[in-house]
Amino acid sequence: MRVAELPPADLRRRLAGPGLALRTGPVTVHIRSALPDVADGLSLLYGDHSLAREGGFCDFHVRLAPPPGLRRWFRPQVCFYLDGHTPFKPLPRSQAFPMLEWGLNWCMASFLNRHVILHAAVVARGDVAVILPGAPGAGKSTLCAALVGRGWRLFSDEMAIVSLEDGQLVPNPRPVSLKNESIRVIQDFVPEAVMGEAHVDTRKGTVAHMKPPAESVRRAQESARARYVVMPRYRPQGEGVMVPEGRAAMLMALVDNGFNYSVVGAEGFRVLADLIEDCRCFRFEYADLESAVAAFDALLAGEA
Amino acid sequence: MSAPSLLLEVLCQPARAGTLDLPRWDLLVRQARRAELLGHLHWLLAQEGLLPAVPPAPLVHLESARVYARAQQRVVRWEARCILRALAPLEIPVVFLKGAAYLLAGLPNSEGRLFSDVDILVPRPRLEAVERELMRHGWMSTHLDAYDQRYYRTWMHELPPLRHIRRRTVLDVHHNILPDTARLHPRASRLLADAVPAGRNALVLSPPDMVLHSATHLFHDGELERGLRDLVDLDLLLRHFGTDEGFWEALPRRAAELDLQRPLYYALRHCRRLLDTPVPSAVLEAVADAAPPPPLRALMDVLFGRGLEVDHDSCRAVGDGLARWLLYMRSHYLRMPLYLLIPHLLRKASRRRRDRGE
Amino acid sequence: MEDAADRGWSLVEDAELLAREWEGQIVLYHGGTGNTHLLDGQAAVVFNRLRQGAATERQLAALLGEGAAGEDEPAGLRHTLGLLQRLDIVEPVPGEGCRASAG
Repeated sequence: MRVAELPPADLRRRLAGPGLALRTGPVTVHIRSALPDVADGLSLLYGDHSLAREGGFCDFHVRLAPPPGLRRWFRPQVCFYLDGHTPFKPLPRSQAFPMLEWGLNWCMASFLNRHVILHAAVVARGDVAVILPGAPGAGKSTLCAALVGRGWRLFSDEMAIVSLEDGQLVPNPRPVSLKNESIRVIQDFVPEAVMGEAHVDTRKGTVAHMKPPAESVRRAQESARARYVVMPRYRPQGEGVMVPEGRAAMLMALVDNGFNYSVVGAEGFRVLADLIEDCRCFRFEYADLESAVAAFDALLAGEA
Repeated sequence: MSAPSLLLEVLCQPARAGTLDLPRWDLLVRQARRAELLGHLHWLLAQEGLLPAVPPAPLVHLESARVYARAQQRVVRWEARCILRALAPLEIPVVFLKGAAYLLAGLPNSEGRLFSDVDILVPRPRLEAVERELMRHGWMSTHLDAYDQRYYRTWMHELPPLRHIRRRTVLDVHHNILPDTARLHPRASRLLADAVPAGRNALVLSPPDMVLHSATHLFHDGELERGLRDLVDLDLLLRHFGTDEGFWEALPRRAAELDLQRPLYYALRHCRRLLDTPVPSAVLEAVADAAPPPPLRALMDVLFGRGLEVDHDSCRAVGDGLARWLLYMRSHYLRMPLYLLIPHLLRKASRRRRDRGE
Repeated sequence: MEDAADRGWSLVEDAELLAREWEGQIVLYHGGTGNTHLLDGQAAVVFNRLRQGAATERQLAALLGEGAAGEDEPAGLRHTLGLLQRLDIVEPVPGEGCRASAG
């Protein structure tokens, strides 16, 4: 059953009561929250995700709720609880949905150590996957959203998940997190995109999430092998050309973007080194999304 | 006492894991993660040949915890190497304690175990020289506050924790296993004299001393933050050394020599009660005199029964908070006389409020 | 500078070192510290040489074409060795035994 098939009133009731077991990428997350923002966000942005049957195994049990104490009555706040304990400081109540997103990222980056998990977006066309590592603010999510808006498959936005068993990329299509000016840019570039509420004054500035395409969510169990690593940087005067980068330097870039690389250690090194061996590597400075998408399409044209 | 947690059931009878349905696995993984015993559970099930019976979904988490434990083992191994190199010029015995000791000695309880700090024991007369060498190699005092420095150096059995400036790892340098102010007074020189080698240049406590230290840490000195995990350590040590010739005879004798019979009594009692640890009846008789008088004994059984259980929503019972608070007060009371304790706890409490920004 | 030139160096003993090389650049995983390093230029040459076994500074300098026959001090090599030592990748061979090592 998909989230969208559940009437909104039922969704709220389930979330406030027994909870909802949501399947996303490789995990099932049990979510509870009486906050309407959480229900609304899930209903709008996770409509195509499926719900797990009752009585199964959930990887994470999370809850979004006001912190205990008097604070609930003035300047209301929200806490993210993983199984009763909160790893984070509370945030303003209005940021409940972004906090769910950040909390889920944290759960995956902390407890899935049979995978090496990198801070990167991943998009795919056919069975060719492209990893887009990048520092925050480099424009990786913007580029990812633009590519997805023009027919690329969304693999994952905030993290690349590489299996230690076989080096394959594991999909995790969840809402794409856009910040500040990028929100307007993507709304203009992909007018049909479903965009969640804009949350102002978060620790990352204004944040809004773009709903992942239904087709990407439907194929969330199909892993793929990375064939390209492209490190994007938004530069208003950029040329939009792909500049080849050495494999050693790019492997270092992946390592620097590792969420749990220091935990997986030698195994992670071997898997990433093998991955980079099979990939062509580029740096890519882009100014406008139209030519950026064209450059990516051209990259793959050589594949045929 | 309420029903034991699923985790305790499986720790006592690993074969139970082969019979669990998915909702029970869900609960078991949550309890084990909370108790920091998920990596241990992986090891235990592997030992018993039960991993093939684990469904794929929970197996992901058991394996993830094993990977995490291995990362910590790597850190501790490297840290031990760096400590030994830094202290080599002093030519003194460096005795590793707790987790680092289990790892260096290759004991089964280092497998899948999570580590926090590295602890070492050195001869008290060389403490200043040790601190100087460590500082020369990049370890810095973490407690820079004058009150803390004085508190540690006057009353405690260890230096204020040191943190390595590059690696960010924390090292506790002990000159004894209990504070000078504590109600029990083991002689550190005896511990050092009996220490045994564990790999190149490293020493660890002798088997009876290692058990006694673990028992003292849990039942006399600690705040039971990781109660069940520490009890599992004791259980594994007792099972492992229990097959050595002479161990069971030496243990109560050594406890008497070191003035640590009461912690040993508690350790044996609760290991048996909660984890079915095999202990020869002669040993139980030997420590029976160290038991507290009956009314206190019954109270302590209840308190430890609660304090050693998993601190997870699924295992809560009425009175848990009170039990944990009483154990916390007890651990401090055993550390120092009241005229020192009360100002110290007030200071800790006011600092916590300050840290929360109240 | 005879003594310094005879000083022996080896890869650090008690850690697993994993290395992959592309176009003269080496990415090195240090199984002791858990750090990953990019080695190029002299550092890559020195590392590759020490993988074969310990070597003296004289041998390493010759390989790099530096400080031939004790004329100039091999400043670049010293710098590189110092850097690799700080990263716990190489260490001086204790005592005298270095000259006999395989090359």
